[in-house]
This record gives sequence, structure tokens and C-alpha cells, in this order.
Amino acid sequence: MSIARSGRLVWPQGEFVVLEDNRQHLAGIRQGLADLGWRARSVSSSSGALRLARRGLKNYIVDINMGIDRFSEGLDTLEKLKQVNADIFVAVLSNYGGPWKVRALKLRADGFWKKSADQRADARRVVVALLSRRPRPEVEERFQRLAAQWRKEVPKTCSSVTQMAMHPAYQGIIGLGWEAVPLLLSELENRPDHWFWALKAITGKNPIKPAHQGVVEAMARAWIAWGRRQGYRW
Amino acid sequence: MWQEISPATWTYNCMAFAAEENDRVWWPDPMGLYYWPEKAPREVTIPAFVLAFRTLGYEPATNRDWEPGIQKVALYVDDEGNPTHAARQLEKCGWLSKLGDDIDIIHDVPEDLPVHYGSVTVILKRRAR
Repeated sequence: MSIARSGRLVWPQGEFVVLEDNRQHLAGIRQGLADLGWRARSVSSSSGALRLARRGLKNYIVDINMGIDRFSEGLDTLEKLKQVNADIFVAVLSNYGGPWKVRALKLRADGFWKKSADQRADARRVVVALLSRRPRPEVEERFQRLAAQWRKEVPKTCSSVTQMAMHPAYQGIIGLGWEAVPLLLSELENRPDHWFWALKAITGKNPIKPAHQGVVEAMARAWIAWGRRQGYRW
Repeated sequence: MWQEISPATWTYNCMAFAAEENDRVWWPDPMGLYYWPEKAPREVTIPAFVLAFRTLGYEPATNRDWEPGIQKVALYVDDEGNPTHAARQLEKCGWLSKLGDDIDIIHDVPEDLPVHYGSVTVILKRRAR
């Protein structure tokens, strides 16, 4: 997401395939996506969604219950989409929570939301979830460049966490916003370093227990666990 | 002159090492991520660092000379007066420093350190424990 000169939010253009049998809900989702510059392509069945998945479409919003006689078609669709390509993003919307949510997450749904009365808001939630979990290639490239610059320019002998975090490259990473979160979590897991400040600055969260303040390996584990709970993949 | 005494690790830093800890990083970051003694303000200032060491029984000293039964810590600042480093005196042998996320060393004099640490601004002391 960036801010255009007019001050209006500008989202990257993209497309969602939407499996939703309720026309009013579909219209609301379509409108919510359009508000953010995204298009919706409606399909009425699992087979329609799979056809598009095989053609390379990557983002899906799936209603679990399709009519009265296709009560779990959404879950079947989710399962099959993930078989086509595990990287396909599938957001599940449902009138019901509880066991449906458990089943959807077990089938590797990228998000599960109980439908609200405002379908536009539901659509916005899905887009935010997608963007926050899938950094755009240009964001990833910028992140890698800034991280390399930071590693190069901050001496390993630097003791000041403040100096580390105030370095322009580190601040640049914070400026990437939510899209940087999975990249930071990946760094933390594979190449641990002082990314805690950036993670808290971006997310506003702090999953570290007070007893683990400064215990960097426990801090890293806490953030990685937090990321997985949120549904991030890296 | 300096000599490496233990391998690089990011699990503690110079402040922790000066405080004789090697299992957490001490730093007064405003977000409360790293350990800092509760009774000291979370500010990157020398008064805050002095207060942090006061919680361990340290008080300002007038010199850096080795004295039997006394432990000393040196606090460093950069050109702008920002705290950068802490080193702990090791009896007559010199000084102990943890270099950021890098190695631990023994150095003969407080100044045998990377230049970005700046200079010693305060010496603290307490009875040896």
C-alpha cells in the first residue's frame, strides 16, 4: 500500500476469485475489493475455481456453505486449491465458526473469518491479510537490499541497540510496513539478528514475556510463534 | 593489546557482560524489548547507565586504577555523548569487554577497543563480590 499525491491510499492491482452463492454478499465483496483497487472474478462451483487455479490465478475468497445441498463445498474447494498449488491464497468466509474454522485451518486456509454484516469490510480484511502475508517482489527486493546495507554498515561490535535501530536502512525496513513482517520473521528464524524493534514498530505487538526481556533466543522464538499463530508463512 | 577469550554470540552484550551476566542483552530501548533494571530510566544517557549500575551497588569512582577488593566498570560515550559501551576491570590483568554481538576480549587498557566506542566518560566502582 502506498499513498498517492492526492493522499488517497493506493493498493496494488490484483484479482480475487470469489466462490459465493449469495448475490448480495457477492456484490458487497466485489465492492469491498473494488474500493481497494482489486477485481473480483466470480465462480459458482469448486470446478470453476480449480479451472482458474490451474490457469495460475492465485487469490481466492471462498464461502464455506454453497446453498443448502453443498454444505461443505467451500472446504472441498479449499482442499483442492491447495493440492493444485500450496502457495495459493485462500481466505474462507463462513456464517459459522467453531468446527468449521478448525477444519478450514487444518486444510491450510490462509485466513478464516466469520461473515459480518458488512461484506465490504470482510473483503478489506481479506486484502489486508493477503498483503500482510505475501510481500510483493519489489518489497522483498528492497527489504533484502536494506537488510544487507544494515548488516554491512552496522559493525558487529556495535553494542547499542538504539544505534542499530536508528540506522537509516533499519528505519527503511520499518517503513516497508506490514509487508516486511514475514520477511523479518524469516530472517529471525534463519539468520537471527536484532529485528525485534522493527517487528514491534510495524505490528504494535510484543509477544515477548517480561521474563524474556533481552533473552534474544527466547525473543526470537516468541516472535516466530506469534507469526505462525497469525498465519504468516515464510 | 587485546586477546579473544570467548566466541561471538548475540545472547548478551557489553552492558550485560559488565554486569556479570551472559544470558541476556541489556539495553534501555524505549519499547521495553531488552532487559534494563527497573529502577533505572529507559534512556540512552549516561545518568541512566550510571543508575543501572547503581542497582548493582556501583558508585562513581575517581580513577581507573586497580585497587584490591574493588571492582570497576568503565562507561564509554561517542562524540555526541551517547553511551556506546561498558567494560569491566579484571583485577590486575586489564579489562574485559563484550564487543556487541561479537567476541569477548581482555584488553590492557580501556582504550584498546574499536574507535566507534568513543572514549571513557565515567568509571564506577563497588566492593568486589
